Amino acid sequence: MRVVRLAIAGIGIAIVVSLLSIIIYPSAQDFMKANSFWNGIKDFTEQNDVITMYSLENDLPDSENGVLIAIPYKPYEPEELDIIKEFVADGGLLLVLDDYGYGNQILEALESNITFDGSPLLDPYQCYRNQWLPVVNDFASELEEIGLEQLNLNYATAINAPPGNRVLARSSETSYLDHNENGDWDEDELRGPFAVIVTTGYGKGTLVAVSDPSILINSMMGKGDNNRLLEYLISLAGEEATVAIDETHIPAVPLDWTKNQWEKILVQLESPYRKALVAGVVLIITTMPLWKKGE
Amino acid sequence: MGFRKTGILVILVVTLLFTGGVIPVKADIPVHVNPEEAAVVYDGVTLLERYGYAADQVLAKNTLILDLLLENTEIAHIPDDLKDSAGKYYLASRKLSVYITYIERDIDLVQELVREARVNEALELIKQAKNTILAAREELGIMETNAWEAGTWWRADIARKGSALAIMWGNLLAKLENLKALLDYYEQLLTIAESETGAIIDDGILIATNLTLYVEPMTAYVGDIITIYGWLNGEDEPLDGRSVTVLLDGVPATDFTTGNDGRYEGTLQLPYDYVSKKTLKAVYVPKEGDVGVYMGCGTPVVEIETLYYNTSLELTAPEQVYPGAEFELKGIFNYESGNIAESRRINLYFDGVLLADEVVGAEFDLVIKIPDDAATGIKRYTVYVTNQLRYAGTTSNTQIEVITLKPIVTLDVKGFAFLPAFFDVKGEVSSDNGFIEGAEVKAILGEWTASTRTDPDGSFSLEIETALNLSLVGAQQLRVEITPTESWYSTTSVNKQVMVINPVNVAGLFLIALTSLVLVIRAIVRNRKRAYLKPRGIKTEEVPINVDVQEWEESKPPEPWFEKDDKRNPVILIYKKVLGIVGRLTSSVLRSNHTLREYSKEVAPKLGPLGGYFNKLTLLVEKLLYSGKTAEDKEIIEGMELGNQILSEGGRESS
Repeated sequence: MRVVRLAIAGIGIAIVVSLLSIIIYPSAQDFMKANSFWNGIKDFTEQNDVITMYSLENDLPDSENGVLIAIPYKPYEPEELDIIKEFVADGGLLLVLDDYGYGNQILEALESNITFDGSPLLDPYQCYRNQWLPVVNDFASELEEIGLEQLNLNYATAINAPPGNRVLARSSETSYLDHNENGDWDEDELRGPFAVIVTTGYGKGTLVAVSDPSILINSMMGKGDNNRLLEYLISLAGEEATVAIDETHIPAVPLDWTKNQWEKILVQLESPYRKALVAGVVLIITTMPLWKKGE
Repeated sequence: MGFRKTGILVILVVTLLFTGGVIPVKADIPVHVNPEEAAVVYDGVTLLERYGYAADQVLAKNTLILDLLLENTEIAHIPDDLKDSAGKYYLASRKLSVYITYIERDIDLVQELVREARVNEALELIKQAKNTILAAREELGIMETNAWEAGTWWRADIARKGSALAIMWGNLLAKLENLKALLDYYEQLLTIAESETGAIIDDGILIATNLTLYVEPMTAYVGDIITIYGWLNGEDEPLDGRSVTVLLDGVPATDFTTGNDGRYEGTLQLPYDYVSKKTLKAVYVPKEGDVGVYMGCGTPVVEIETLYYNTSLELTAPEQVYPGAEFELKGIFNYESGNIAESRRINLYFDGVLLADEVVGAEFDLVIKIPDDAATGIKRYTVYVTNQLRYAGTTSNTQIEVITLKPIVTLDVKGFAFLPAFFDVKGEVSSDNGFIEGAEVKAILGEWTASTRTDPDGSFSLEIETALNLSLVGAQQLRVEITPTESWYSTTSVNKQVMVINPVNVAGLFLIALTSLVLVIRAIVRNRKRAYLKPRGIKTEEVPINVDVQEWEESKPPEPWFEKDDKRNPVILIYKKVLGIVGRLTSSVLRSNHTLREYSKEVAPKLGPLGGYFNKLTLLVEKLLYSGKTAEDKEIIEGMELGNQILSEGGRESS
């Protein structure tokens, strides 16, 4: 009896501690909305009122004025690709930010001839601190018009964009694709400029491919004109755009998963009837000892 | 499992919750690093390569790229010590490139002048070109100094032979050496031309000539005809029947022939170049019989002011339009001079595609249709106004946002729905443009759907037929999706929470709950009554339950609690016997969740007068068991007396 009691108490304490920790303890995971550290996207999501999507099927915004941000670090199911296709075809704006992930799956589904190269894009001359953090300053006229002067990347790749696609930003001539990943330029490795932001149409909507999702993270938002670029890209969906980010294809640790679930529960509990139901359950649990004595 | 183990379990669960890692997307490459913690690494090879590239652009006379290299110095990843130096290098490269352009142009011109026997002009130009070479050498010197500064900083000059740094350094020095050789070559060419020209003068064979140029008026509109005249003389004698060429902006525009007095005269129409000034120059080049007799000559440059009417075009268009809709693009011309053109030719372009080519008046309206399938977003329209005589052309553009109109939906539905029944959904669909007719309306409530189309007044009414299911009661989302037929409307949807009640299931559940509640309450009441019937501490007249003591007497004697010779043992032993008696008298045994004191409080009321003794004995036993103090003899005696008294009276009662 004593063992069972202690086990129950232990699990109970663990649940309470975990719940408190979920609320208090900040996420430290890459690209997580709840992460306020250097690698999170808290600043971006707060500045742009970004909705977190826990399911492509249920949380997708309307195509009208809708922006879907995809950071494809997990492969997509065919059904998910169909949903994305339909979203863009109906007029939605899709921002695919990828470097070494599964972005080409989406591009292929949208019948685009754009591809993410997947090799690291390094620039030893035009960079911030070292060649892995290239600085881009070659922009299309529309970006120059909004005063964009500098875009800072972080472990990016390049985009192969055949003619017919609109290249919005290019890396410098000193950049190169480090195919063998040895950190040095070799004779057989291509040299820049390379496209890093490309846009094309699909149906009534627009697809924008960006070769580095890291421009969203807290530590990169303030670098160069990254913030201004993101505002511009979102504005392509119109003035009152609804921005949603797909978190289902970003690897998450249990904390982030639980935080998401907790958030979902809180949303679910907004209904007065559900609140009443919870109150009832709590009442039953707290009066259980009384029931026991009465046996 | 102790508290320590419980703690470990808690830590394990929490740790599991908070740990984990990113699934590596690409082996060995992180998706990013903290930029503020990234190591600062400079690359000398690339810097020297850029210097070499700049030297190449000097030779290619590509000032645009040199400008870019100079501009990008700010963002270039160059050690702070070399930042200024790099800026100086690129600036000098840029200047040198311009000088080389001038030198090459002058050398060509000198050679032409020499060919045309325009000796004086040639000598003047050679002098000018040599000064330019001096300036160019100065810039090359700056490039070399700063290249060496970078080379020394990177120790490229002592780098291992064959290393990338050494190769790049070698390439750079070779390129700088090439530039130096080029300037030497230019100087050599000029020296040759100078000596050839000097020889012509020294020979004294050729007769010097003199040419003048006059232009009237000195200010004229583009397209106007101006008068040009002047005189050609050779050693104070007018030269008759010679051809004089007039250059407009350095390009031959017309030829005139001199008369008896050496005068030439003619007219020239100013081209429709909408610039503020034009240059004229007259040139005499000896031909045929004059070759070998007269020197060639040219006049100083004459500048005339050109006038034209500046045009500006103001475009206005609605800020937002819808796919499939038409909109008016309005334009108004403005002329600074006040001279308004009756008509102008305009070309309207959208995304590089010509949409309209029309002749319009001072104001115009163009009706443009947006394609049905146009993507939403900002669209730019550009109007090119062609040049027209004195009226200069212009370009103007405007942008509009293609949006789809969002239908406004008002719903008239009840806040609750019963299963199974028909649920009415009424409403109205409109937009800023009025009611929307014929739009498809689809209503979804849980697993049930119904659809219809809107009437001319935008209203709709439909019924969702619901059926029984396993639900009880709860809020469900009613979703109404609107899909208009016109392309300028977007699809939209509205959601509303509806309380769905399943009376059959609710009633059944209510009955079950009520029955359970009644049973539980009855059980609780019964037990409470039994347990708390008699007030605590008050003597009871009730006779204790008669229990057969036979079993107790036959059972084995209780074991001592403490060590063998502890004086407290007798009291504990007698207390254990007392517990047996009390158990029998009260039908209530000491359970594992009881403390001795709790048990005593619980059974004392049932023991009648013995309850007080039992309470006392229990407190004494607790003290002996759990107090750290040494037991006193009088406490042992008191305990034994209380125990014996309860045993004797309790035994009597039970028998």
